[in-house]
Order: sequence, then structure tokens, then C-alpha cells
Amino acid sequence: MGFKNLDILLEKYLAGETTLEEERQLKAYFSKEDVPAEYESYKKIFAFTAKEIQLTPRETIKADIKEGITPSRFRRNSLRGIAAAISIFLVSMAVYFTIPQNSTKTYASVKEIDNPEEAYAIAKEALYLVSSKLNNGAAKAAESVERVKTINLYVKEK
Amino acid sequence: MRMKDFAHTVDSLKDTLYRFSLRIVGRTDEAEDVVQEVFVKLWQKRKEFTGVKNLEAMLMKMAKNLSIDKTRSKHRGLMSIAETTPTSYEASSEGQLEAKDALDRVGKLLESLPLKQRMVFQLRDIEEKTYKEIAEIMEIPEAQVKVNLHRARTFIRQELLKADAYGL
Repeated sequence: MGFKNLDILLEKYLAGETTLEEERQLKAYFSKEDVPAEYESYKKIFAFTAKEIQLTPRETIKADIKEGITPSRFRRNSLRGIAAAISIFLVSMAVYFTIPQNSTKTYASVKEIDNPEEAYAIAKEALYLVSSKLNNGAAKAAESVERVKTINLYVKEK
Repeated sequence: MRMKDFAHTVDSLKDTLYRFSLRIVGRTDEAEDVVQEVFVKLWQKRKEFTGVKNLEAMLMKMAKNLSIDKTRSKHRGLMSIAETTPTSYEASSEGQLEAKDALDRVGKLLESLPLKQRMVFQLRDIEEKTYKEIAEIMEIPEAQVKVNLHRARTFIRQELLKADAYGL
């Protein structure tokens, strides 16, 4: 590169009009040891840019990035804990809603009766209630016996 | 995006993103945080990023915005100037010491520039991006990219000439 061209190129450089290729030529030229004193300021600028391009982050930055994109042990454990809690809750709810609950038993309140006549009337009523239920049961049993007899007849015929 | 593609993207862009962020925040630890945040976001939103035309420009934009947010955070208001001083280079011999001084001086001049000029200088003179790419990352027209670049380069050169003239 001749000095005549160099001045033109440096003017273009200062104006922000050089191409990348022209700037690479300038960098190559100013990387040489001996440069006329009048160009010393340019030499410093290009020496600075050549040095700065060598700056790199710590070696461990890749490991830091990897750690940043991988869920940590704490987060993994937390997620497992949450998943386990949700599972237990869902199973409990399923059991609660699908298995029929024992009907709540209500017990008649115990009442002390002092009047014997009243006690007799209540006892009589209660016995009547029980006997009517037993009669129903006997009727049902008789009905079932009749059914069994019919089935037996059918089986014998076969 | 598969893990393999993600790992490849990290390998090819982490350094560029780091330097760009460092130019904005001025602290290595914060610049590294930004790089990490950008890639974690990329992974979390990888489905949204599928088919993005210029992934690099998109990630550079993310790094720019996160870095600017960091400089605006309340915590940073309490930081001392020393904590945000640009990278200082090492030297052993006298010649190296002179070269180191020159590098440090350019670094300090660059740090004194307005943010937009600093970012454009970084993207063009260090990362060698095209005017079009810079315009996309910076979200400004190409003409503004060139204006900012012109101002940044001219300022640094003039200040260096002044320093040389005063024998600094």
C-alpha cells in the first residue's frame, strides 16, 4: 500500500466510509513495527482494536450457562415434592368420592319416662312396629319359598 | 433448537457478546452475567427463536438491552469509578510499558465517549460487523451508524494527537 493511498484511506476511515476490506488493510499495515511518526495516533488505535478482540470471558462461563439451563437439585427436589403431594391429594379425593361412606347412624335420644301408662303405650307401639316388620319379612320369606319351589319343578322337568 | 445447535451457538458467540457487553457495563463480572442471561433466555425460549433469520443480531440486541439495564440499576449508582475502569494491559519491558500506556489511553478515551458511539466503535472496529448488521443491532439507520463511527474515531484520534503534542 502506497502512502498516497494511505492518506485517502485514512480520511475515508475517519469519515466512517471505509469497507471492511479496506479497514483490514489498514489494520495489517499498522500492525508493522515501523510507521512514520505522523501516523502514530492511528497505530495506537489499531493496536488497541487488535488487542481488544482477544478479550474472552472466564473459561467456566460455559459450565455456568449449562447450569443455568439445567434445573438445580433444589428445584428438581421441589418439583418431585410438589408432584408427590399432588398425587397423594388426587388419590385421596378419588378414594373419598368413589368408596361409599358408612351412613351415619342416628340414635334415638334416650328418654326417661316416669309415668308407667305412658311407658306401656310407647312399648306397645314399638312392639307393634317390630311385629309389623316381622310380618313383612315372613310374607317375603313365604314368597321366596314359593319361587324356589317353582324353580325346582322347572329343574326336575328338564 | 437441539442441545447440539445450542452448544454450537454458545461456542461461536459467547466471546463477541461478552466483549460487546463489557464495552457497555465496564465490568467483567457483569458482562459475564449478561452473556449467561442471554443464553439461558435463548434456551428457555428456543421454540420462539426457531427460524429467526439473524440469530446473532437478535442475541446482540438482547445483550445490549440487558447491559444497558445493568448500568441503570440502583445498585450501580453506589459503585466507585475504579470498579468500572476499562481493561488495563500488562507490560514488562520499557517498550511494552509505552505500548501499554498507549493501549490504556485509547481505552480510557473510548470509555469517555457517549454510549452509542462506544457501541458502534466496538461493533465496527473490533468485531468487524457490516454497517447493516450494526444498524440492526443498534436499531438505528445506517447513516446514523456512520455518523457515530465518524465522531468516535475523530474524537479518539484528536485526543491522541493532543496528548502527543503535550508530550503525555
